[in-house]
Amino acid sequence: MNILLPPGRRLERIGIALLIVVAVIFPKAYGGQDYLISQARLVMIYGLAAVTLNLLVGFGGQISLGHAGLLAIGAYTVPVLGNNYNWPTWALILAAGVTTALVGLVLGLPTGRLRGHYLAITTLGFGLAVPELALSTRVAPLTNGSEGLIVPTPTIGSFTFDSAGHPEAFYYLCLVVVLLCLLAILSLLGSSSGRRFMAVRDSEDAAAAMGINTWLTKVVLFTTSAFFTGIAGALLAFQDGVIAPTTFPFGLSLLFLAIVIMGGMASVWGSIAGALILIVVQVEASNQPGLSDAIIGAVVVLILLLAPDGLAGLARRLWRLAAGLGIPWSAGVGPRLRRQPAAEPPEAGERPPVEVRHGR
Amino acid sequence: MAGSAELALQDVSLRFGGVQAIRDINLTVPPGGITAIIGPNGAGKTSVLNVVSRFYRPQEGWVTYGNTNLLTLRPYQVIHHGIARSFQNVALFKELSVFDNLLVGADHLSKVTLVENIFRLPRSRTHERNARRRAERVLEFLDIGHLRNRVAGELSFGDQKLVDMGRALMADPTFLMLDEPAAGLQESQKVWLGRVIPGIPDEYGATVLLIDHDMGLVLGVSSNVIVMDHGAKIAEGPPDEVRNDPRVIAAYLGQEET
Repeated sequence: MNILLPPGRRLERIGIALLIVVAVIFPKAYGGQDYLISQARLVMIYGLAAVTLNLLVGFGGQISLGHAGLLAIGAYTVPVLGNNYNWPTWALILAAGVTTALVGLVLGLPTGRLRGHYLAITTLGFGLAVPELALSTRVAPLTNGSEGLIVPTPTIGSFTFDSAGHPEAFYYLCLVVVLLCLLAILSLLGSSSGRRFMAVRDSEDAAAAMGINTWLTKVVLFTTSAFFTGIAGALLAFQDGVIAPTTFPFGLSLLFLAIVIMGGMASVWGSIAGALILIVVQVEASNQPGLSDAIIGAVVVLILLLAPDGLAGLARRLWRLAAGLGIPWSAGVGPRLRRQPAAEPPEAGERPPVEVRHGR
Repeated sequence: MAGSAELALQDVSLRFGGVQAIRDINLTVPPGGITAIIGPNGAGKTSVLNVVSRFYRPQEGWVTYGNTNLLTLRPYQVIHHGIARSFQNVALFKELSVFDNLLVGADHLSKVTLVENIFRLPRSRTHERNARRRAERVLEFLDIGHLRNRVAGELSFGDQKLVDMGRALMADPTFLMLDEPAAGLQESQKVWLGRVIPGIPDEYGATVLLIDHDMGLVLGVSSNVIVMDHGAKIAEGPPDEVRNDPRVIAAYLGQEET
């Protein structure tokens, strides 16, 4: 685990350990309550999808309003290949990732040159187009139009991870797949590839001066994010059992964005926590028909009022407070906690107008 | 090979609309030592650096480094030919730690793929180990070890300048361009920097092209000084000669004294 985490990030380590312990014992504690187990699976799946969006938005500085579109590609891959070619479950999950990565690559090639509003509009268009495309007559033989497709039950050998028959087994399948994806993403972020993504986010000019092909880096990031989104899509397909264009409305893309912002930009575990809170609120709010969306919106606003930099930022501030009060084992806090005076701007009038330009 | 190539700008002109940033300039930076470009505000010093690092495309002229025609390169390819730079208005990766900023400087030295990084395969681990070792050396060389875990965007301007310089040193350059490294530093730090910069050619094997407003620093460390004014080169020579050149006194030093 040491290799995945920079030293001193004790908060993150404790959080991860707790999260994994809770995730492992959860079905034991709530055995028999299938609805709760199914919602817990949804937390993991939405959490993974939000992390992959955070890769783009938080770690890459790119905006995407069409994440549900990529999720749909991954989800559709499972019944299309599973029903027609009878592929094993692990191959279907991997194929969902690869197919979505290819779509992400095709989408990333042009969008790698776009920024801000232009990127937002392009990804928005993609997110809206995918469900429409699934309805179109040309693709309908593959997607079965508005009726959608029945997803094969996941199996390993003769054991079936039937979400109705063995909800706990399917829960653990999700847990293993999501944890493997998160480990891969964390490993990536802690390496030179991850540094490249963040360098391009912080300063494209400096990144280029350091030998980083900024366009290629964005394309690689888009493709990587799409790969893991596809895997989340595959899990969602298995979870739902049936997928149709209505499974992936535009609102789902916004929901993922809300999870990312609520959890904290550039925080993997913040996104997971964001997904957990959102699903809990969704479950609670479902008792108030007609008001559930308003309740969810109010909770998001409330969290952002209390923690403008998301749950991850709130956790860091609480940790700093604990360190300030001298609470044991809160020492060794992450570097962000020791906030120093901000950089002073260069003296006014020292810079000639021509020479301050670093753009191309 | 380290620091053995010559940088040459031949008949280079650069315009932004009606503003002539560089005016038909010819200059060479010989390998091995420290060459400085000085000149008043707006003289075109940073524009020269931006032309070399390919952020600006000159309308006329040639720019070569050894046998390489730099004008055929894209900005991200320049460093692969050994040319690294720091920025006048620091362009650090603000959300990253100082240590990670330094590591990015060395990342172009390896061709580790994304998959190798995910699975931490041997090439990935070797690169990481070497980059970290190099970063430790840079932290020590610039005496910024105490800043290693700080978030770069939260540092003072002077400290950011040092990190910026360190990131360029991480790139294993044969040619290092420093754009006002002393800006924002306290007087005592400037004196200290005046002792550090002369060590770069020996310690890192890089030719240094230095731009700074601090005349004491520039004239103290450089073996060759190029003076620019209004986008043109008006004088060149050893520091003592330049210091006494009437054109330089009129254009720059004279201004400083008034």
